[in-house]
Amino acid sequence: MNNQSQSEKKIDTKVFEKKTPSKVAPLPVKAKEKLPPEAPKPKEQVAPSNILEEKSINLIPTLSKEEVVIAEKKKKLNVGSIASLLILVIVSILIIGFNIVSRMSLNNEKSKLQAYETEVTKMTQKMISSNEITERVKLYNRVLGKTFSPKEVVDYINAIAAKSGTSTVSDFSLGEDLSFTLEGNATDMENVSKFWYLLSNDPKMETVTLKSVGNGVNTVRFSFKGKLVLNDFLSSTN
Amino acid sequence: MPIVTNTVNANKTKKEIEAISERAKKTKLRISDIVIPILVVVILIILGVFVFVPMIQKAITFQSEHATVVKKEEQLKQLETTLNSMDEGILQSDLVNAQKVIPNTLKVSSFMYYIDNLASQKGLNSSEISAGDIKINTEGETSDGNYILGVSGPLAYKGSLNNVLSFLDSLYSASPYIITIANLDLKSMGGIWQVSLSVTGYYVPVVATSVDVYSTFTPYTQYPDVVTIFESKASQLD
Repeated sequence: MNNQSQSEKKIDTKVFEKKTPSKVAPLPVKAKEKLPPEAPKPKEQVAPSNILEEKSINLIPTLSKEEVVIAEKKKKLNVGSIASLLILVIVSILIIGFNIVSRMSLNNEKSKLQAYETEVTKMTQKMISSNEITERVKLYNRVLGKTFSPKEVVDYINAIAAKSGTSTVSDFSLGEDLSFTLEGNATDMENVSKFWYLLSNDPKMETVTLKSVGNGVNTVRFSFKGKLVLNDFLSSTN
Repeated sequence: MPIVTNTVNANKTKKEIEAISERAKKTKLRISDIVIPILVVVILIILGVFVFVPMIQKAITFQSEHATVVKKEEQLKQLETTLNSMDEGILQSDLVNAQKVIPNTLKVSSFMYYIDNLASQKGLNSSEISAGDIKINTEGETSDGNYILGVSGPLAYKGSLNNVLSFLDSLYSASPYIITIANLDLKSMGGIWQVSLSVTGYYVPVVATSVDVYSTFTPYTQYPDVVTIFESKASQLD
């Protein structure tokens, strides 16, 4: 019996030397069982054997290189399919999750907003009252924003006339933009020209032109047309 | 006995050959092997185009809507804070004052009565007085239509220059109404001055408005100076 196992061992060793390491059919179970317990286990010796027990030959051939490549491809394809499915599931979960979370968050905020709306709607009367006041304030600012004191303007022009000597103004016409027409008289031309000079060089005078000048009985009549700088006369009476 | 053994071996060999051919068949890469991966890819693409993309788009819409809702929430919070900061009593008092100065309606008779009364107080004699309702274009500055309503008319008074100027000043400074003066003309006629002018008083009619809580709200408390002016003018009317 010992001899027999030894001979089998020898045969096995031989086979190992000849074979190329590749995936082949495992040893028949019977052959394995028959090995003596003390017999050294072949390392990674799952290695194929073409010699079967009972003195027969294992006709199952080892896989060719092409077959091995195809088998590997199949394996890869299967793994790829599983991975694709996994990705599909994960992506689906992510997208659906994102969608659900977004919707929930939106609904939550909407309900909050509704609560605020209810709260603010209770105070609309305050808003209406405030808007009424604001409207009047705006009207006030618009209407009286560019007003001037007519008294101040008339006094200012009269003061210049007084500086010039004998010139007096008897007719004032004032526009909304402080454009003016003055008519008056003086004792002589010198006073008229002085008055004209003072008006022309006044810092608050934007433009001034002598419209007409003529001699009357003991007087010289004059007429000026011009415009005052509005900003300098903007009312403080508002 | 050997004949039996040979038959058994032949059977074994046959079976093994069959197994081998079966295995060889199995290791071949067939179209059926790549059907599942291809199907998975196709399903993934279809799902992506018809399910995932719309879902993502919807989620993005939810997100943007969420942002809008949050923005609205902030606006309402701010509005609520502003409205809460307004004292109800003070608001009503300010509203009454504003409505006195710029009333909801200005009767021509009341307005003319006030002007004529003021002129009489300043020692002026009336030479012309007429008035009517007007609409003034404001280029969309008021909330109700593009115009301001008012009472306007040409007036003419006679008196001394000082009285005339005092009258003009009072129209602005002492008038409880919001008044503007236009086409001012002062003419001296032998020591007596005649003033002719157009006076306009304004009013804001009551308009039934529904308040939009999301519209821009400007609290009237932003104009404390004008509110104070309204208060002082209103006290003159009491």
